[in-house]
Order: sequence, then structure tokens, then C-alpha cells
Amino acid sequence: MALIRLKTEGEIEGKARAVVEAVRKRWDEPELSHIIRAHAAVPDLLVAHSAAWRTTMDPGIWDRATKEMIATAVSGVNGCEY
Amino acid sequence: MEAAQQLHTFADGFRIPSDGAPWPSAGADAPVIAPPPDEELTDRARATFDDILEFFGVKEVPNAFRAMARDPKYLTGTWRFYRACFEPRHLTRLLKEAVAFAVAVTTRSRYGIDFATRRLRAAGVTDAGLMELMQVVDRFNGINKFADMLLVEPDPWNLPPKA
Repeated sequence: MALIRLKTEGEIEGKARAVVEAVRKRWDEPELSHIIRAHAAVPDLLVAHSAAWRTTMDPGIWDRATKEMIATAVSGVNGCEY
Repeated sequence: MEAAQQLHTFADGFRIPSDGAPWPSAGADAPVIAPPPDEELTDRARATFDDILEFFGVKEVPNAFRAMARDPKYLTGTWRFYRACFEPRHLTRLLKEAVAFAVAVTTRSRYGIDFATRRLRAAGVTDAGLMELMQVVDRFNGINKFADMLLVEPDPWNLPPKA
């Protein structure tokens, strides 16, 4: 169980609400991910997280699949279950 | 990932200098072992060196492999595994080199970062390409710490199916 209470989708309001709407549109997932709900504890943090995510993971010189592979390798080395 | 980490472990463990750097013979930075002189190289080591030069398209054998030639069987075994891992198959050689870079940065391997960067540069990756790659490595190291420290559990739909 997480050390902080993860906000439910309905509890995320204000400027962070736009992030939720964008995430829902972009990702085909049954629920809002835990990492988004954790960042939503501080709405400004969620907004910044989302912007940084897009900048980092949108295709550029490297395509999206390569970036996902790098993300998996880093998470594997770090033993990060999430 | 495994092959890259093995090479990095050997090189950092024995304080092997980056390729092209001077090989200090004394002091705290001195490598634990030195490469064997050319005249002492076995036929097996020479053949492996030739393969390494061809695979990387370089004129000098990277220092880690030179030092590994102290034990030709170790060198050959490590190199065969490394080459098998990095040969393009379902994934491209460039993607594998990018993963090796991510692993080296994440494990803070001094030799590995230099080694992987050289491979990426040789493949034509620019400063902008390296920066973009580093951004992903950096971001995910951060996300990993965030998730681990707050004990954020994996999203249920991403978990592997139960046996």
C-alpha cells in the first residue's frame, strides 16, 4: 500500500483536471494509473509531471518504442516494480 | 543488458581506464591488472581481438578487452556472449547500444558510460540525440525513486497474468 493516499479520479480538480482528461484520451487504460494519482497529491506537481513526460517520451530523434525500451531497462536495473 | 553490465563490472572493478586514456602504472587510479604485452597474446586472444576490431569498426581493441586477455578463455567467453547479445536480430544494434548507455548511466559505470557513448557516437548519434536519450534515462531514474519511496504499487492491468 502506498505511503500516501492516492486520489481517485473524481477527486482531481482544478488545473490538474485537464491533465486527467488528456491522459484518459491518450492512454487506453481501464483506470487512471497509480503514478498519476500519486502525483495528483500536489496538483502543480501533476501538471509539471505530465508536461515533462510528454517532452521526454514524445518521439523526436529517438522513436517512442526505443524510449519505452530505455525506460524498461532503467526500471529493470533499479529493480523498480512499478 | 546482462552483457553490458558484465563488461562494465569487469572494467570498473579493475579500474580499467577509458579507451584512449593513459594507462597509469601507479597511484590510486592504477588499474589492478595490465593488458598482456602483444608478444604474449595467445592465438585465441589474437583471433578474438580481430573479431572485436571488426565488430566495433575500430583500430584499437577497447581497454577492457585488452586487459581481459590476461585470461584468454575469459576473454573469448565474454566476447562471444557480448557479440551474441549485440548482434541485430529483432532489435537493432543501435537500440541495444542505447540500452547499454542507459544501463551504464543508471549503474554509474565510469568505463561503461564512456564505452557506450563511443558506440553511439560511432553510429552517428549527435549531441542532441545523446541529450534526448539522457532525458529518458534521467526521467525514469526519477520516476523509479518516486514510485519506490512512496511504495506505489504497480497498476493491476500491467501485472503479469497469474499462473
